[in-house]
Amino acid sequence: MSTRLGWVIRGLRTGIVTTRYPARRDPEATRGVRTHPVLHPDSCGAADGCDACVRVCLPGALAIEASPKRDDDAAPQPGAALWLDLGRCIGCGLCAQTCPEGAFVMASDHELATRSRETLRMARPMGTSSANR
Amino acid sequence: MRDMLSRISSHANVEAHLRALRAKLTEEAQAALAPLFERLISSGCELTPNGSELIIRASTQDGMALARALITTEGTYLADLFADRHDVGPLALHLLLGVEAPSMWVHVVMPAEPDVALASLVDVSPAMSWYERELWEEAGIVVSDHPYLRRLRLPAHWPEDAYPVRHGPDELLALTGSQAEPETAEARIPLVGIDDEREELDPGPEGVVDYPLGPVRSGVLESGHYLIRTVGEEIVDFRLQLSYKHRGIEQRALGLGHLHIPLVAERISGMSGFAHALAVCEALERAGGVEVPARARYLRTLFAELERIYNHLGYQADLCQATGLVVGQAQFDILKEQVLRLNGQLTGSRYLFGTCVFGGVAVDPSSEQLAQVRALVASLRRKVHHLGKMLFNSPSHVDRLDGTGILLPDDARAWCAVGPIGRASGQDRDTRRDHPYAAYAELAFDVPVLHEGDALARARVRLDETIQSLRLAEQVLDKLPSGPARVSSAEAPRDTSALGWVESPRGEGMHWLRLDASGRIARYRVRTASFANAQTFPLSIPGRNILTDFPVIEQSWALSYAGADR
Repeated sequence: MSTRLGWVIRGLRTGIVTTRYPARRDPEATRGVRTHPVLHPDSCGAADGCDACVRVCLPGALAIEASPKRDDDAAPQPGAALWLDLGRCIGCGLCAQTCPEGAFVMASDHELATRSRETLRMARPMGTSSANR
Repeated sequence: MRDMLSRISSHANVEAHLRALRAKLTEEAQAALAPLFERLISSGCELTPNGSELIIRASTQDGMALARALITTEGTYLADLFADRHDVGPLALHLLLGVEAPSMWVHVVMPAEPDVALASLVDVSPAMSWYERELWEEAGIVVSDHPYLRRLRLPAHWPEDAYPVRHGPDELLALTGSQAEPETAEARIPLVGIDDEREELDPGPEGVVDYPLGPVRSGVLESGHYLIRTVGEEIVDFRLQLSYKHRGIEQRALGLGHLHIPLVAERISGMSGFAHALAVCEALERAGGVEVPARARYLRTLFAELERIYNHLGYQADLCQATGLVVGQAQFDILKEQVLRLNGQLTGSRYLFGTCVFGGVAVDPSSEQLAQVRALVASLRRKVHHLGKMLFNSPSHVDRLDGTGILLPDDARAWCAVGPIGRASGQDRDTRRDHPYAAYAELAFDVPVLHEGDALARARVRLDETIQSLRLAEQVLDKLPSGPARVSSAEAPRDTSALGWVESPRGEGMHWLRLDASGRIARYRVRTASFANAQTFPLSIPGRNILTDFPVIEQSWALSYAGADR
């Protein structure tokens, strides 16, 4: 009862009524589910010119850039880090299957909600290449 | 030497298939087409290696005459009609027919000119209507004597002279102006244009009420878009409008390679993702002569059946929601969720996305996971049987379904209804049995067929199919061979074309693709089960049904609008 009252008060105060797991968390629901790739920077070959994952990514969610592309007209700046755009990633796992170094694992973290599109694009640099680290 | 021998034997095979086909025609048609068949026997025909598809190349006139004769023949049905730019002329017209006994796909390829009108076949087969409309809107082939030649799927603001099949992607972009600019597109639409392309009813007399329904609405189903005309409570006319979910999937596939095309196919209709990916992978493998390992064929069968099981369980739950049987809905939804969770644990995706790949399957379940599958299948068998018995003994549920939304067997045949919808209306066809793929040829299962054609028959067929699917899953688990689940290395096919087919949970899905010299998709055509059935759907509504029956009828058909629109 008190939690419900808490939501109401918070909703009135912030205008946001979304709440995480209103009843209880159910880890079984998404056990084993593949969401997005996570990179182990140590084994990534991007610094040596490898871009196998970028080329295989159908929705263009992966990019090797110094900073992520803001729009399609801006030319990407040459290699420094591998970036993932979660707004584009479809979780197919092709990058993990393709990577010659086996540097990717598919995460099962499904709590991907953010407040803005920009956060999905920017907040998840996936590691830096060895040249830059 | 071996080459020559195989050529001779394949020629004898072609001849046998052609003779079987000719024997099916009426005597009149046999006499009229005799010279054509003589010509075809000597040249112009080929049979795919496993004898599943007979490709007939003919002139437009011969091809259309053959089509006219075959479509009206007992035991053949229209599977697809589409155009491609390539090959035999400025445009190539592809007509696909399903043939029973002997089971084969007859694929007639004929040249077509955009400016020469094609005589409509709607007079012999009403099912042709939507296919011919698509031909006109996508390739600009004018179909003469078509009763209603209007756009089917392309949006109203699409320019008149831009034809997706005729123009390359760059040309098309120049013609349409932009990939997606809804706001400027809106400004360009003349209102008259919209009205011209919409399904419309003439204004009725007083007392007639027209309900526009959807595409955005509450309710149990996807975004269907309808116009319902009522007098009092009774529905007297009904129109269905496609295009709201048209995403240009076939265009999106252009230029993609064998690694990516299954990912696109999965997104045609999320609830049939695995089935569509399977059809497209089989087409690619057929094109490239790739032998898929036995374990992969069995695992594909297992996943395809798991998909059918969760679809059919969800179907019963949604139908319970439509009739207000909340307990039944909850019970079936619980079972569906169990299957989805199992899917997630097995493959990483609750909807089996990314699982079917060229040359096999992406995941190979461990023996522990397979034991989990076995346990769930066993428990589902008990529960589905028990729940089904309770469900069809619930008067509040059954009374709403009995005699509601009838599709007569004759209509189902004429309009080429497929899948569980067709099977509930007496059409004894199942692609798994008639044109076996994956491992279905090695497994035993029954195809439930009913003749009533009402919502109750559709529900019963789906429940019986669920039990057959569980039986299939058990057999796969018993017989699952060891070995690799994916070919280790396979050359991607190039410069060829192939057909793929699948019995998706909603019925027969047909995929055809042509690959260019670098192995990229140059033409991709999909005819989903929902496309074939959506055309038939309006037949089941006007007449004996009242407005409150509509949600029940709609749910009993369970069409995928995403699948129909592509």
